Amino acid sequence: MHDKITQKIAAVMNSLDGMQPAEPQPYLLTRLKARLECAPEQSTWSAITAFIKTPAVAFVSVLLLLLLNIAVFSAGGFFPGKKNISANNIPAKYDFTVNVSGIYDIENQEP
Amino acid sequence: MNGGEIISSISATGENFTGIVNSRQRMVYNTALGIVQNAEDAEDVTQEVFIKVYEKLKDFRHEADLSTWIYRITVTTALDLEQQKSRQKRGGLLKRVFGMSEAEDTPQFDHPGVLLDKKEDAAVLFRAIRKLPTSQRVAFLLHKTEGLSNSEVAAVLEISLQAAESLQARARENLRKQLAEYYTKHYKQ
Repeated sequence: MHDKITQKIAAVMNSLDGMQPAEPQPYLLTRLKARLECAPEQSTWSAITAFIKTPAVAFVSVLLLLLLNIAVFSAGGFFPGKKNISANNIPAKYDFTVNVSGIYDIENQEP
Repeated sequence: MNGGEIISSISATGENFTGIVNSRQRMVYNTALGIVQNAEDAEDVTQEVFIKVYEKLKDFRHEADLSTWIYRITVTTALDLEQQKSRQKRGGLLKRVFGMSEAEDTPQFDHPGVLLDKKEDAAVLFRAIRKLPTSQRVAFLLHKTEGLSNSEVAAVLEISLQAAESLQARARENLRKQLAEYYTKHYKQ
């Protein structure tokens, strides 16, 4: 059994000996000419567009956008005045409890 | 671009494009066929190779032999197509859902040039070749189907002669191992 398998393996290993080359389909040159004639001329703009469309460029762009967002929010640059707002530093003209009478004060002016 | 321009495009070796296509189409087709193991795909690769040859012909220098250069383009193009196809297969959700096996997925390859009494054995060998690591597979096929010497294989793959010899030896060893496993399971008296 073992010898037979060894013989079979040797036969398989030599099975490509004496092989003839396969023939490609005819008129390859004609098909090539047709394809070359139909191929659009590649302009600079189409090359740039093709480059922008590549997945690597899209991925890097999204990553940069995310990093920019994170940087802006973590630095607080998007709402620059937010941290300074507190009850103590509101200008007096905006403090309605001081400057504007309540609606009840206006209606009940008569004693 | 017209046919006249195509025909008159002359390489550094003095060969025109038509001459290159006519003299090397069989070489390109057979190399591609060995790698992709599918006649239609080999036709596509052949066309693609000659388009690349046409585009790069004016830049071709005598650093390598023209045939070696074309072999290199063929191997790269065939491997690219194979990789593209394997990515499409991996993405085939339906195949996974319906549990299509590997045997169904890789049909038996029947090389038209193999002698009739050796066709069955050759199909088993081609199946085993497909499972080899890429560099071993290419080295083995260039030597076995194209009849290139080890130094020519080394030139095509841009490796040293020793590396090419080592690839051949490992390819044979791996093929024998695979075939031994296969026939231990499937051998019939």
